[in-house]
Amino acid sequence: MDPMYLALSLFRRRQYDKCVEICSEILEKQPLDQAVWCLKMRALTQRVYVDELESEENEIEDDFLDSNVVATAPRPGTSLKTPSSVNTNKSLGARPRTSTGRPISGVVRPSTSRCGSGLERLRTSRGSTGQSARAIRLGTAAILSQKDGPFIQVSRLNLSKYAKNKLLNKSIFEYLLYHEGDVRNAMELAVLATQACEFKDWWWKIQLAKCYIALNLVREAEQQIRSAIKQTPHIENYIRLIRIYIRIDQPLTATEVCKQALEIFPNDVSIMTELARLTEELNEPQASVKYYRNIVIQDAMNTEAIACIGMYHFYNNQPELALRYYRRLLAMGAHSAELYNNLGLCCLYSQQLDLTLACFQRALDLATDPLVKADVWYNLSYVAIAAGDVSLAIQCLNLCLCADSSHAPAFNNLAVLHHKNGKTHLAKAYLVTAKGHQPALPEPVFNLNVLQNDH
Amino acid sequence: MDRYFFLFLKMNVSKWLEAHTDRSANLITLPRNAILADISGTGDYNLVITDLKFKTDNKSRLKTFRGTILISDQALPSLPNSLISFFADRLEPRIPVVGVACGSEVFFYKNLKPFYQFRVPSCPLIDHESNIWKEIIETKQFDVDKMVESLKEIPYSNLSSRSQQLLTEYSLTKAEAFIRKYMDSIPVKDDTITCMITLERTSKDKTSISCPIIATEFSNIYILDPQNFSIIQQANTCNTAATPFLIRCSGLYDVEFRILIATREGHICLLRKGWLEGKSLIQLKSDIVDMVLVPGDNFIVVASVDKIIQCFTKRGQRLWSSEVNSPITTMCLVRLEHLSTSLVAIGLKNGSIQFYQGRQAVDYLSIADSPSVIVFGQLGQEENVLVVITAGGSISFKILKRTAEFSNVPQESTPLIQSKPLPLPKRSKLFLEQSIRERQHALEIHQTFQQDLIRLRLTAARALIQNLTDQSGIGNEKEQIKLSAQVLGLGPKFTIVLTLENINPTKPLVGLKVTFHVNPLYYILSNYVIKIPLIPPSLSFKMQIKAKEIMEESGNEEQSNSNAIRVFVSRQEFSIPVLAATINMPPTELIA
Repeated sequence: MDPMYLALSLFRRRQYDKCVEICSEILEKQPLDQAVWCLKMRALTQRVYVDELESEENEIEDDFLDSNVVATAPRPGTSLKTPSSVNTNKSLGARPRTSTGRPISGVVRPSTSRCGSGLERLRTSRGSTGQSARAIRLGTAAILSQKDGPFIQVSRLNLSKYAKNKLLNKSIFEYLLYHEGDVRNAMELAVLATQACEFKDWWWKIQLAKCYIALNLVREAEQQIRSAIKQTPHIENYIRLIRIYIRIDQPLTATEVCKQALEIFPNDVSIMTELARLTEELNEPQASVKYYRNIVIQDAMNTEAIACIGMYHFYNNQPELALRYYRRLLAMGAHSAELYNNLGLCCLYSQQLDLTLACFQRALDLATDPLVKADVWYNLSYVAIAAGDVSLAIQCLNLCLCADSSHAPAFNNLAVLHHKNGKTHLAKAYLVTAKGHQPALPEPVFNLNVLQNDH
Repeated sequence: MDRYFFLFLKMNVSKWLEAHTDRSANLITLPRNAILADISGTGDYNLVITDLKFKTDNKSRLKTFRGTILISDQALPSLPNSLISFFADRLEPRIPVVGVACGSEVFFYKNLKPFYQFRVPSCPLIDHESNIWKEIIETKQFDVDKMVESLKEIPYSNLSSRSQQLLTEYSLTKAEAFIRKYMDSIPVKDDTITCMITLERTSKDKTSISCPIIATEFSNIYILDPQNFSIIQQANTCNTAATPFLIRCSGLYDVEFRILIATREGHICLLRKGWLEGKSLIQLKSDIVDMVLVPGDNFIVVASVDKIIQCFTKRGQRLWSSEVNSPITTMCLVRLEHLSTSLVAIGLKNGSIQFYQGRQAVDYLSIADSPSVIVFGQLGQEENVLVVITAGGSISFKILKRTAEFSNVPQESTPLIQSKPLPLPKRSKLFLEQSIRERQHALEIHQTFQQDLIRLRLTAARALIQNLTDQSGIGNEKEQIKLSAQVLGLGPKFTIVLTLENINPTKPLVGLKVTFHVNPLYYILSNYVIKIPLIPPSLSFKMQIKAKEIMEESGNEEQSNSNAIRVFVSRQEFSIPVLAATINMPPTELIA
């Protein structure tokens, strides 16, 4: 078989490593074969390619030195940074919130980090890796796997020559950006290429915007994307624009962009998802659920939408409806500790007691991450309280704290239970700890006040 | 959801305008001691109240307010017990007479000037008593001991006040002096007025002539002629012993009338035209607080001390009863002529006033403290004004909004129980199905749950044992130590802040040390063993350790279980740790 054909076939079948091997062999024989060179480049790129739209870390809470932010003291409801004061007390307990007062969402997304702002992240043991570090690691990993030096010597690449080559410039750009992680050279190539095609190719504008975002030049990126959208309205472009506005903390503009995009692409799932997430962040659960319902009408298998609707019903005192949505997720093949945990809670609150503990048992068995395990034990303590077994509840909370020693709600509940048992000093110590771990949590502060007023 | 929201809104809008409140008015007034009357005949209604002063050196006063301003303040000879106003004649301008009952006298005022004084006829003495006194008057000789002995044969409450006073004298000489002082006259047995009311004479309109009705301590009822204040009818309250304290009437004197008398014994007695003695209509088990006659239906609404409001027909059949959440202090009839309805305002001790239309509470007001008097009527030019005087002495005026309506539609939420409904979501069909399943399989569900619960206890116990064996966890309950850790920094250099807390409220912690256990390939610590000084009770000790991550040259990411630092807290001479914990170190943030 023709090795070139084989390599192409392997590339299409996503067996990039093998494809690269064959390409290398061909290149040894014919070092100037541009087609093979391009294929190898693309294979190497594809191997490490990350869809940055889905994996983008939400940098919004990160940059306390960011100069792109418009207002330092935004009006209520116009910012995702300021803690919201909306507090609705429901019988199932208020919906848990992040430290900035945003409601915790129904699904874990790359942007949902459990820790709060950058400053706060410095203090906790739960550090999460930022975008920059990940990009670098992927780059270094790629280099290491090559035994005989880098595939392309970037410094010796004649960028202005390749920028004019319409067949090669895009592959080289992607290689530079994703494989090498060399944003500056990639941007230079993009600038030259846009000039070469006389600013007529929207693709290059988007790539330029990507580079600008990587360099934190958000406003320039916005300009590029806006101009690209003017040329070609594309869903991806709109999503990038939305992300930019979220990044500079202008949720209302982002919503506006979503609505514009929906006029051009009515009922588009990905844009509606963005809109639903945004409204959720803006503390409008009812509007958010409306969008999620629309998503489910378009795409009945959308896990995120189903999970979010379920969550909404749960905190809206309709656990029986939430149970139905989570069961749908289960039927769709999702099989995780979190899902079983939610099913267990729904069963508990909709009085289907015989299924409750079975669900929790599965959740416990499936939970490998200590944080998830901690949450399952925390919820089991609620089952114990519902069954009237305070000592079991205390045991469950202790187990929760063994798995995650900075679980502030568990400390708080432990304090309440100990106080009930008459151990006031212990309760006080636990409350202080809970307050220390999560100062934004209102319950420990309130309970401490109550204790202080008692004595 | 919409429905609930609507209700919530509706409950919030008050039907009353707050006109004026004076918290420092310092008025002490009892029920039936406040009236709204046009005392100057100008059509500008005034509020007339009696302000009670219980101290002997301070006389009670009759106060008149025009609007909210005090315009007249007159001293009263003794403690007033009730206040009425009525038109006595047809002279223009029509000026009503205000009557204040004090002791056994009624003082009538016209245009704020004293005008007539009526004294209730005294009661005849019991023969035996009058014989004793007559003998003394005739013979001018007496023996104190003998006299006291013979007076004691008569029931104490039937004696005249002079004889009663004599019986309370202890020393013989004083008693002798007392008798000498009064030995010239026969003692008089005064009758004390307990309550008053007015009854229209010939026609039912605002300015018709009315007769005052007076009830006394010895259960006499007198109806007076409004012109010359002579008694035109006299009757006894009841055939049994009864002390009237509250009187209400309906009808016209010239045609037919019904007088209802509430007595301290818990009876409600009826007296009609021409009767010489009333008859008991209703007997209550508990003491009566207040009574109101609802015009139209002639229903009798009675409030009793056990927080119950009862409603009776005019024949004495009980229609309904309702319990309120606080003791009732007073009641007032709220006649809304423009709505052709009547409400009953019920003042509660907890400082709220509830308005009942029939048996339904249609509105409520809250005020500063428990109301002692509520009056409703025209004040100044305003037609529907509610004046509330509280036990704390404050006075407040509230005007009923002209747009206010008291609909007869039963509302789901009664202000008695809760002011706003809980925002419950709609119960779905699914919920009903699930509840049916729950009911049908109750036994199985319970058994399964209990089994699972036992299994959960086992699982929890096992997990705890597991944790106990390696002494991990947040604290040691027995030793009462708590350990918490914080990791600061982005890496590769970190600072670990450990807090060791002594939660024992009495005993200090001594002789502890902290050992750190790390893989030296990955981390270098500034300190591996720390001796802990004494930690006093309920205090904590903080320590700082620097940790440095050794950056791996080979980009090997498979070191997830090694980036942990284990901490052991142990007593110095024992090898088994008191407490152990694992600190998960964050990965180093690489900044390009």
